[in-house]
Amino acid sequence: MSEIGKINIDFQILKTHDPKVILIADTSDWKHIADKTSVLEITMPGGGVPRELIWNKHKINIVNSSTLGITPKACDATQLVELPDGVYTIAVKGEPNYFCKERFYLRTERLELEVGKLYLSLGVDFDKNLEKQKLRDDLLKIDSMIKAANFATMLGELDKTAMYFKEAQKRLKSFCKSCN
Amino acid sequence: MSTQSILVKSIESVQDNSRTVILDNAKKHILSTDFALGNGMNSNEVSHYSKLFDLLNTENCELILYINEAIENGGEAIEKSIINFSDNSVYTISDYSNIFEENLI
Repeated sequence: MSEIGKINIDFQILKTHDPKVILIADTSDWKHIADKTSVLEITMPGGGVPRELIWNKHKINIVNSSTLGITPKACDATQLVELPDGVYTIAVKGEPNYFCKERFYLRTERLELEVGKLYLSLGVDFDKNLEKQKLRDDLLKIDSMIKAANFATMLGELDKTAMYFKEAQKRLKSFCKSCN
Repeated sequence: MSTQSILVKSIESVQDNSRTVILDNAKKHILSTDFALGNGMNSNEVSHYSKLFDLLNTENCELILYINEAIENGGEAIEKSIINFSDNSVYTISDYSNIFEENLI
């Protein structure tokens, strides 16, 4: 028997700290279209044609390089590659597809991982050494930039997202000794 | 708790320590602002342990290796980390940066 009422399509993107996967949980109230097919549309950073995947209702949907079809041909199909950082456009569409929810998602897993690695290289104990303090401050500033970029994405201000994200990348790159 | 478990550092013990430091600093802040006692919170220390606490909660294998190295070797890993960071990660990051630029056009 179909449920009557207002359909509310919604989803949450779960933080994994893993550059290879995106986890998206369905939090929709599907009502009478619960037994119909639904689709997940992902547009990768840089735009292009959105990838369409089957959306599993009431479940956590796993997206990786294999499901997105971006695993390089030279690699084993089961071998996952990292998904690029940047702004993804994620949409869940019901049937008929005017039941839709779209969201921007800023992925910063790789950048955060690099900041984390550098931060850990300071050791786990709080050290008052001035050189370490400076490095710690610089890394915390990068962290703040990443947070600001995330907040800008939440507000839909993608120009600011790009500005803060690039600033974080630039600051992180300054730690690399052989890049310039 | 045995002497051995106090001396040996692990992810859990570093997490416990981070929690304790943050709680102690919160107490110092209250004592300073409400009762004019002590020097208040050390915000640098709190920032450090907050960040560390977040990092220690990871399930990312790559980061766990770094955490263990940081626990075992302390700051000695710093040069090694920067060298590792320079081989392929930066290439990937700048690659992502291009992706970002295209996204804005």
